[in-house]
Amino acid sequence: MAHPDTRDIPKATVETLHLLFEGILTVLQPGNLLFAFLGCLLGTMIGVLPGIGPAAGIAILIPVTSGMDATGAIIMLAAIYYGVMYGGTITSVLINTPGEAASAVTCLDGYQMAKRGRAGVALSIAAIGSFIGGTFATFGLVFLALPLTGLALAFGPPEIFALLVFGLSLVTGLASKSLVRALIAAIIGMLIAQVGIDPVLGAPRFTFGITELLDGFGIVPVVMGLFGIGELLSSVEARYRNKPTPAVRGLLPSPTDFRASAAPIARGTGLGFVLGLVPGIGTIVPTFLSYALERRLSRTPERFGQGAIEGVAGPETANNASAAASLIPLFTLGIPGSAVTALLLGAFMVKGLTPGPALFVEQPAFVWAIIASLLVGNLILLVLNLPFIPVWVSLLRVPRAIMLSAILCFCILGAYSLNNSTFDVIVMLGFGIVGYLFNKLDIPVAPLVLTLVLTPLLEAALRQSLEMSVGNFMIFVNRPIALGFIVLAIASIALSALNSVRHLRGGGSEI
Amino acid sequence: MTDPDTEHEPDDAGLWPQPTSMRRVHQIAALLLVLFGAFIVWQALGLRFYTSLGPGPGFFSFWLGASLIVLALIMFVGARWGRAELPPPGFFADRQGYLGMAGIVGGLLAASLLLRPLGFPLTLMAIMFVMLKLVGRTGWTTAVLGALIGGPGVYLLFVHWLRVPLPAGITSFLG
Repeated sequence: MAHPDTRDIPKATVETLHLLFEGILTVLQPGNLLFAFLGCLLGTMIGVLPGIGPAAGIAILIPVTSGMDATGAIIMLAAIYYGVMYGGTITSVLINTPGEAASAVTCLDGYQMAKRGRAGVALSIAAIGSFIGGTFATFGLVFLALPLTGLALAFGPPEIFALLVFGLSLVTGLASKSLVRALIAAIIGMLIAQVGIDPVLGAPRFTFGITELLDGFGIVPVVMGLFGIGELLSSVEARYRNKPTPAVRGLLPSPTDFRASAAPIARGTGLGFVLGLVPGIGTIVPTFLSYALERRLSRTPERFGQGAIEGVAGPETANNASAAASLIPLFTLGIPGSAVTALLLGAFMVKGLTPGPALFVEQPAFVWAIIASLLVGNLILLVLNLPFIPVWVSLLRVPRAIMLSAILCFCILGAYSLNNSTFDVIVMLGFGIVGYLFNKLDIPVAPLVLTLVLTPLLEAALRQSLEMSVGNFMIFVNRPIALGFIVLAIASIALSALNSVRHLRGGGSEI
Repeated sequence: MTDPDTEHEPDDAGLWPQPTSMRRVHQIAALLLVLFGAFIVWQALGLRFYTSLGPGPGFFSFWLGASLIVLALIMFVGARWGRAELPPPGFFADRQGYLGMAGIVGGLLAASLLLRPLGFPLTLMAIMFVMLKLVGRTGWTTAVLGALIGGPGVYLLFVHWLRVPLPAGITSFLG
C-alpha cells in the first residue's frame, strides 16, 4: 500500500475509495458474508436477551471464532457488536427492560409507544436510525483512517508510550460514581497484566510456580469471567420471571413519523459520532445526551416519556453512531476507548494482529475488509431487524433457566477451547467471582479490561524508549508529540479529579 | 454484637437481612484491597527494581501495589467518614439465589475436573441438568430433556460445525 499523503486530499480520497471497494469485494466472498450474517444474527440475539451486554456477548463468543481466519473472525465479532446494539432496543421497547445499557433511555418512550400499540413503529424507526447512524460513522472511519494513520506512523516508542498513557488516563472517564474505584479497577487490571515472564529480564513474575501462568493470564478467559460468568452469577441471584410481550403489528412508520424522526436522527448521528471518537465516553452517554437534546429542542417536551417517537429515534441513532465511531481510535491509533473495543483489541491479538497505524501498512486487505464489513453489517442488520422483529420477540419467551444453562455451557466450551486447557476454565471462574464482587461494590470493570490489554504494550514502549535514551526519562519531555500526550493525560486526570471533588461537595458519597 | 448498618429482621419475602448502608461493606473491601496491595509490594521487593536501561521486573509491580494501598485507604476513609451510600435493592440474595450461584461455581469446578475423564458431552449434560433442575427449578421432563439434548447438542455444534477439537472422554463413540 502506498504511504498515505495527507496533503493531497483528492488523491487520498480516490485511494480510500479504491481500498474500500477492494474491502467490499473481500466481504462479499461467501465465507466472509456468512460470518457477517452470523455475527449480526448472534449479536441481535444477545442484544435481545436482558442482562447480557455487548462485552459479555463478545467475550462468550470469541472462542467460537477460534477455528476461523483473522478476517472472518474479526468480521464476525464486529458484527456481533453492531448486532447487540440493534437487538438491545427490542427488549427496551417491548418489556421495558434494556437488553444492553445503551438502550436504557429507549425504555422511556419506546415502551410507552408499545403500550399504545405502536411497538412496530418504534422498533422500525430505531432500526432505520441505527442504520443511518452506524453507516455515517463507518464512512467517518473510512475517510479519517488514512489521515490519522499517516500521522500516527510518524510515532516512535516514546510517542506510543505517551499516547498509551493518555489512553489509560481516559479510563478515569469510565468512572461510574467514584473516581477512586475506577482507578482501583485500573490498577488491578495492570497488576493482572504483570503476571508472567517480564519483558526486561525474562524473569517469572507473580507466577507462584504455576507453569500455566508463565504466559500470563489470557485476555479472553479473564474477560469471559468478568463479564460472562459475573453477569451469570448476578442473574441467578436476582429473582426473574419472563415478562409478557405485547404483540407487534404495523411495522411501517407513517409519513408523519418519518417527518418527526428525520431531525432527531440527523442530530443523533452527529452527536453519537463526535462523542464516539472520544475514548472513555462509551455508548450510554451519547444516548442520554441525545434524549436530553431532543426534549430540550421539542416544542412539546411534555410528550417525552409518554411515547414521543423523537425520544426513540434520536438516542437509538446516537447509540449506533457512537458504537461505530468508537472503532476509529481503535483502528487508527490502537487505543480502545471502551471495554468492548478493548475486547476487540484482545481478539485482534489472539489472531496475532495489533490494531494501529502499522496494521494499515502491513495488512491493508484485512483492515479494509473489516471496515467494509461494518457497512455490509449495517445493511444486514436493517434487513434482519425490520421484517423479523416478531421472530426476535419470540426469544423473550424462552425460559430463563434454559437460557442461563446454555450460556454457562458456552462459557465452559469457550474457555476450554482457547488452549485446550481446564486451567482457563478455572481462571474464568476466578474472574467471574471478581466480576460479581466488583458489581456488588460498584467498582467498574471496564477500566480493568482496558488496562489489562494496554499494560503490556505500555511496558514494551517504555522499555524501548528508555533503551533509545539510555535510561533517560527526559525523552518523553524532549519530543513534542510525546510531551503533548503527557500534558493531555495530566489534564484528563486533573479534570476527572476536579469533577469528583465537585461531586463530593454536591453531596456525593466518595471521590 | 449488633451491627448498626444492618437490619436483623428478615423481610416478608424471606430475604437475608439487608444492609441499610454500604459503609461497612466498603470498609471491609478497602481493607482487603490494602492487604492485597501490601502483598504485591512485598512480592515486588523480591524482584529486581531497576536496571541500567530503566525499570526492572519489580518496578511497575511495586508502584502499582503502593498505589493500590493509597487508593484503598482513600476508599476506606471515604466509606468511614463520607456520606453513606444506600445499598442496591436485594444486595444479599435469598436462599434460592445463593443456591443458583453455588450451582454455577460448582458446575465450573466440576467441569474443570471432569472434562477430560468424562468428556464434554457427559459433563455438559450433567451441568445442564443441575442448572435446569436445581437452579432454574424446572420440571423433571424439561431438566432431563434439556440435559439430554443440550449437552451433546452443544458438543456436536462445536466439534462438527465450528471444528473446535474437544475431548469426548468415555463418549468417544459420538464421533
